[in-house]
Amino acid sequence: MAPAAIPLLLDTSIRDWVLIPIVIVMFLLGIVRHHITELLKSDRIDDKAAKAALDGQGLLRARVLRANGRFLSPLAFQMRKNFFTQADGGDDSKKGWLMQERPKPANPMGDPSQMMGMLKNNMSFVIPQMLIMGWINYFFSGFIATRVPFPLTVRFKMMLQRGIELPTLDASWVSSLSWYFLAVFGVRGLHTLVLGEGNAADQSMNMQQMAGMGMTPNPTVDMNQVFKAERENLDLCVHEYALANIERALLDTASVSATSTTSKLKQH
Amino acid sequence: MAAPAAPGNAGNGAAEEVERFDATSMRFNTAVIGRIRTGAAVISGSTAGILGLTGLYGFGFYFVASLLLSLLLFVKAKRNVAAHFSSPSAITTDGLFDGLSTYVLLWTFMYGMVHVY
Repeated sequence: MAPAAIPLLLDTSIRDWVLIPIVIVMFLLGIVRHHITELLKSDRIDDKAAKAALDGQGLLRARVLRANGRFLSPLAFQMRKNFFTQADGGDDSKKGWLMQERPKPANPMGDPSQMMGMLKNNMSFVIPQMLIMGWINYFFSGFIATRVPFPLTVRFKMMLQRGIELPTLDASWVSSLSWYFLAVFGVRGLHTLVLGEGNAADQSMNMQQMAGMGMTPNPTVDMNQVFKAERENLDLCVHEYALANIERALLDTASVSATSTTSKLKQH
Repeated sequence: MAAPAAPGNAGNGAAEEVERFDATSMRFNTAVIGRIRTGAAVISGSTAGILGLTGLYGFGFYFVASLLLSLLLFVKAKRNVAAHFSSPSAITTDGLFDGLSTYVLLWTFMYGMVHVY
């Protein structure tokens, strides 16, 4: 099963003062970062985000009207369509919702405050990691911390056994720094369990989540273009009232259920 | 858009049925699957570490455990995966590799606790 392992006795203090503390620190760091982000976030819900949400939801409503409008009576459908695409009316407030001008999006690279925000976000992720790596390098280098239960090739020795100059030592014995890397990737899942999906403990996962959302429109997209496309779609949408003959259909079912099954079979 | 089929001839209406889904519920389902997978990875990782599995046996154990979990999810979904997810493979593949890193951490940790020290 396992390659004959060389019995290597490690001091139990390494377990108590290196292995377990690193995991705990990594775990708590994520939780602290999550809560700090939450605290800062409450200030950032601004007018711009609210407007963006309004635009997104309105667009969604137009799409729903297009998809399910056939269940509305012709008058109701026309009223809703007018709400979105009415062309005349002079002043901006009477125009259809999709006809109103939206402000052009600012170039994110041109706006220094947004650049700073991005930079700050990155910093809040990078700086703690660097501090912890420094901490581990300073205190816990030069000895074996644990053994990974899977074989590694000799190439890993240089990376994972830095500071341990033992050429014959199996590569699966690793230093505390590699234990740190394992912890970095592993605690991500634990944070999901404790803090819930979409937590701010791990920045990279957050990014993925943002990309997958799609509900709030990307601020760099020109909403005028999107609205124009949706307006054209809505104009092209031909309203066919699905329930026009509903009374007849209902009576048909009544008569079908009244007649016997044999006659129904004959019909088909 | 296909008109809803008249009650008398439901047969040909089914072919024109448009697939509808609720994006919020689907995201929620995927998130739940991810959480279950992580939880299973924690448990199976600790198990593998305590048992002292090494090398390929350990990785194999993860995939066997995941497969078992997928089966349980399949039963939980009342054998109708399409009703809850857009792709039929969602319950087997979603979050499989996110769980792996958690598994490796717990596996190494428990292995170290029990078999190294």
